[in-house]
Amino acid sequence: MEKFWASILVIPIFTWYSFHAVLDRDFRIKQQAVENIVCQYTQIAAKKGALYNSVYNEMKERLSRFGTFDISLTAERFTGSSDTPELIKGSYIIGRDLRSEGFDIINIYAESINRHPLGRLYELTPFGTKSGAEADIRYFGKASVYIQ
Amino acid sequence: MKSFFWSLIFIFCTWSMFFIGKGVDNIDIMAERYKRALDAGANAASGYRAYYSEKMLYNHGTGFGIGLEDSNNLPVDREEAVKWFYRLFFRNLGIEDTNKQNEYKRYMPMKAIILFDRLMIADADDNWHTYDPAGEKEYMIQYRGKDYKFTLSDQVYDIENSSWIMADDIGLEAKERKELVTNYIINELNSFLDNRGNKESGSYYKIVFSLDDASDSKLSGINGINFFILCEGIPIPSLNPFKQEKFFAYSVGGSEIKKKQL
Repeated sequence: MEKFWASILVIPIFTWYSFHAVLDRDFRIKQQAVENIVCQYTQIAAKKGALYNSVYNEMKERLSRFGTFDISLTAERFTGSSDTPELIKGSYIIGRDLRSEGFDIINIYAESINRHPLGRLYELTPFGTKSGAEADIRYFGKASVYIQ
Repeated sequence: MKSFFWSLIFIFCTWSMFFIGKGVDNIDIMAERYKRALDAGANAASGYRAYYSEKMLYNHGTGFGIGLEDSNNLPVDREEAVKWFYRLFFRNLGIEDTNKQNEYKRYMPMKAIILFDRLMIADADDNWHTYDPAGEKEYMIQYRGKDYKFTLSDQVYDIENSSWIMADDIGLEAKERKELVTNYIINELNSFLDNRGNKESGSYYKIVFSLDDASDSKLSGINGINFFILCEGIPIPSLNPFKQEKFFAYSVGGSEIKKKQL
């Protein structure tokens, strides 16, 4: 009987911890991949001085392996000595020659629409009750690169 | 009772490991994010639009550098360079709040601009005069008992005779000259870091540039004008319930400042 109660105590914690180990590792690997993809394509766009439609579609396709992403695009242009840049955003910037228009920075931010199960795990205690924590964990990638 | 006791021990160990490990795990992710942000910042600092002017880039040469094809002399606006560095660094980390930015700046102990004939280093407060009261230091190095002002090319200023000469005029091969100057810069950077103001991390850093140019001279020593930065990163708590620990995901970034070839 004593072993039964000990098992009741240990098994849920062990299960929770195992789930955590697996999900945490899954999240870290995929999160790094998402960040790398966003960074890589932002660098390409900055190097080319424009975010071509083909480059954008390729980035979207590679990101789609990790779910559906909400992608935000912005380009900034600093004029004079002002620290407040002129900003353009949205799909409007795709295909535009940002370099010749004098834009300085291109920013790409991608965030998964779906929550990662790791967040759900954090919201539960090993015994199935609510932990009280609010964990909205999603894959995201953010990169800003200077347009040379 | 014994099983129950052991189960409690198990729970205690599991949770302790969990919390201790959390902080350590976060270092990897942060170090990589810092690295990307530093490189993006350094890239902007070394290429901001102000350089793209005829005055700055084309056929530039004042003083030494005139008439020599291999000259890589280039003036740099250090305040602008640092400003552009921060713009990109903070955008990559998604930090817009000025107070938060200032907190991060405290953990960036060194921003260095390695120029053609001098070195400039700014501290965590972006003060260039901590390194040297003049705000910069020339590469004044003693060779065979005489003081010379060295540069990143084979041009050397003979202080005694007040004239520009070539390194081989004083019996110095290009490889030796590069090693001499690179070592000087390495020592200056390391000495600045050892004497930095904020030593909260308790870490000591050693900057090293390769000096062996047997395989490819481009990959060894310092060949050109560079923007170089070290970031310790904001302290990451370990979540260790037994010890108040902080981890620092330090990283370095750099980018070469080049002028356009005609």
